[in-house]
Amino acid sequence: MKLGLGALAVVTALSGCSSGGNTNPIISAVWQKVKPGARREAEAAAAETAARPQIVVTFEKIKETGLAIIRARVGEDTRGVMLYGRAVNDDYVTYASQLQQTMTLQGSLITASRAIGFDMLSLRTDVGDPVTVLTPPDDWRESVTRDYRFTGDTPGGRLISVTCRFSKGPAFELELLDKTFDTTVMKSRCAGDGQRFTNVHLVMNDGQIMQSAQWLGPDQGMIEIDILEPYTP
Amino acid sequence: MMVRKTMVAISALLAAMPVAALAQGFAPSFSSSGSIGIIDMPNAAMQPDGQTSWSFLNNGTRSGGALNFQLLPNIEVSARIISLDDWTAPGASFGDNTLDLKFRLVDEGDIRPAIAIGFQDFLSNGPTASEYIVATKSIGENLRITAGLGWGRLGSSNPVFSTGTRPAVDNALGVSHMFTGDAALFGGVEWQTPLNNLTLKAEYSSDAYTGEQAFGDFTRNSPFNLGAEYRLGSHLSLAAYYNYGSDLGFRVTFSGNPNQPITPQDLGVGPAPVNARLADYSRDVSWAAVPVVRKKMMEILASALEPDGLIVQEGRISGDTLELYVSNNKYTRQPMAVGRLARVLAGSTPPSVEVFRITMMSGNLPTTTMEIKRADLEAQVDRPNAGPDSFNTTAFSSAPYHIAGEGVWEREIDKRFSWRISPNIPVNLFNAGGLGELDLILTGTAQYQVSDAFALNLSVTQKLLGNIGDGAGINLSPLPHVRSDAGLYNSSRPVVGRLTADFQTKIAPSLYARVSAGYLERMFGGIDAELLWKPATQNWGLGAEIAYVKQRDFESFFGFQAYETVTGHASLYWNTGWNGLEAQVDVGRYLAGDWGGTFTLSRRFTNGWEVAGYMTLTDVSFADFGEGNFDKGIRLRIPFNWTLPFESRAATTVAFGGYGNDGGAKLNINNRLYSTIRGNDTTDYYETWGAYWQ
Repeated sequence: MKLGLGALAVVTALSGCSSGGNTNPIISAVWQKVKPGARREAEAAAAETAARPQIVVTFEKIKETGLAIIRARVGEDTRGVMLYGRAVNDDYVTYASQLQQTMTLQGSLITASRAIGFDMLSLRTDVGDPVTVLTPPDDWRESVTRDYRFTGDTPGGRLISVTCRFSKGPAFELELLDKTFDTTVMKSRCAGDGQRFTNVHLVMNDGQIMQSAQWLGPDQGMIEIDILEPYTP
Repeated sequence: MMVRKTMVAISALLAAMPVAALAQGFAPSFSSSGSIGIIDMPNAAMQPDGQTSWSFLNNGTRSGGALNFQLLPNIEVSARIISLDDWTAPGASFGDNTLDLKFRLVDEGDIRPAIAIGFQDFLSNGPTASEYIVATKSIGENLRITAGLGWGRLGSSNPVFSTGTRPAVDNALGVSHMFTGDAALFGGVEWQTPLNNLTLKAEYSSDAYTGEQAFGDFTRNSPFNLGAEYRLGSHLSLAAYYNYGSDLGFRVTFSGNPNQPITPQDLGVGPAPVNARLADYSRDVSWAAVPVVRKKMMEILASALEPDGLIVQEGRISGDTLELYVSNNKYTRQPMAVGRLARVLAGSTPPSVEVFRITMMSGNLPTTTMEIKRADLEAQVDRPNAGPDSFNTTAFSSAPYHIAGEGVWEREIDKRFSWRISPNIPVNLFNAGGLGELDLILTGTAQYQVSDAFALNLSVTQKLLGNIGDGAGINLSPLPHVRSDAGLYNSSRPVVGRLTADFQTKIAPSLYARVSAGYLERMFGGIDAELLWKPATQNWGLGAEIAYVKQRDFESFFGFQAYETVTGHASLYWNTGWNGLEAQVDVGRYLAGDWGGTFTLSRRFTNGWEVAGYMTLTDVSFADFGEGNFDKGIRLRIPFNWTLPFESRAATTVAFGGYGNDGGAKLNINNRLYSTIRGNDTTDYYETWGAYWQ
């Protein structure tokens, strides 16, 4: 009995509780994993998910929504998450997922991200940056300068300024959802303030970027996006 | 030629490309004393800014612990608590508490080495006191060489010249011993082996180990030392040494960096997108003439914000202005709470509301009011310069205690009684040979909120296990035993740590007041009153506190002993606005009746990490004070947010030092005004305003 009370006291001490009903979130997460029947519940949930009819997303269905839509993938994720246009402020369109992860794009250039990991506060680029305005691959300029801002000790945050040099790569047949697109690989090699990275864009002949891998900062690394339905005013 | 790929193939394109920070040299490693160095000798390398490391040290002549902190990019600080074996007589150890400083004067270049100047046992002529100038140069990616010149202990073997006569070791405070006496050369090499994370070291030492050989078994057979360090991830390193041809030693070091959280931050919910109002938005304000409409709006707004940890305490909405007093129970950085709140208001209030006047609360005390114009918010959101622009267009002012005037909506005190049970792990590193003592204590706290200004507080603790105070011997302190009997307050039974009536209010927008009466802390009860003048737009403030207290019984819940005293301080608080550094000076009368002052310097990081060091000098002589000569210590606050992938305001605090000293002892009051309201002036907001749009 004494041992049991002691163990109870230790568990209480480690978890912590209050009149507000809040328990330690770590303990809650662990408890969800180890509680009796947790494995059975997880297997049942997985089976239910597998049994659900697979929703096939097509460009036609996307068009029917009437929304600007992008899809984003981070790290090992291959399925991605859909983000829908929610706000327009001048050239900047903010997309949000169902879990309210948000990403702001100027044209096809990601200029901010929230709740996707390490936030990118903002990005300034030169006027006429071919990633921000429709520019056929043959017309891409040589270079632009960009200012990335991340959380730091001032209102402007931590500034990383880079110069990005564009180069044209091979033609690229892109399979995206239910369609195939003839694109050109455009690379932008960026360097500055101790950072070096390469963004890759798959660009249609009219300048529309269909798929892109872009740098979101030294902590976050790269993110891939598909522009499934671009915003049109 | 057309290349055909699937959509995920862009990853393969990326794989062959450089997508990383430019390469850096191999990480600096620790010496056997827990500072950045070679083995027993220092070098000029530095850790990343803010890096904090705790080392356990042991070899044939000493054991203990060291807290190493990169205070600024070019300043390294180490607090060390070591036991020197056989120091004063065979079998008699000497407890040495030291503060080491190292300043990097010159950064390493392509050709030039990094150059640093350092002080071991800074300002004290103790057994380990020494000064040095050292140069370190990397050669390629995997080799680092060091050469230096040392005085004091580091000048005691094979001196090459002398700069006067160094006073004998007397533990005296001062600077006259620095860079005087014999000077000797030292040096070494560190090699990052092809075996990942393994560094091998060799050095030539200029420390003669004279004191250690006087009474102990230690023999210095050779000036050469060898060592190996192995890093397990970025948070743990292990090292072993073979020193002076006769001695084996080891070190274990745990490290963390406030700027590099263990988990990616903010995997939670992003802020609400903001759409600007249409150009022809309705300017109609007739709705504001109906009190019930205004009241209903406030109720809806308050309930909508509550799930996001933003508790509206007071509010008033008119045709063009919304005023809110808000408690932030979730976000580590206040601007993040303000920014998210402003976004919600922009999307949920009638378009005629042009001004948001948001006041953030700390406890029950309103602190700073921020006036944000909705048109500015709409013009700035999502734009590249939104951070600086939004700070420049926000007007800051000190908040009055309540929103003045008619039509104010106030939240009912719906939870008058609240309680919490939580673990507490006090650490005392001044005993057990520096390896430390610790307890696991269960703390139950309860509060009854009588009014918004007046509350009754109770804290009861139950020790579950631990060893603090187990080794307490006879107390020979010549001062009143205000803290040195700490071991006698240990109990295996429940203990009332605090039972107080607390009154907190604001007398004026910039003037705060507090009175607490009852059992103020575990060792003292009485009455304590405090005033604080701290305008929100000013980076400094003044405080005054006075208390009449009696010493509590060791065992009983409610009894008192005979000792009583009046204690109090005048305080200056200065938020420098530079790299998160804050300074505090307290001058006054301490618990043992001694007069003096305490200087505290702390560095707060934008994510809530804080490292604070303090020293207290009073009219108590070093001899009467005892081991350590004067009170000093370091306090570390680590927010849970650093280890969790979501927002949380909870934190844990670990204190090193200040345990059991009678001289320079202050009351342990946990609701002092400055600690309650700090983090809310314009300097703090400036430093963390980057989070406003997060």
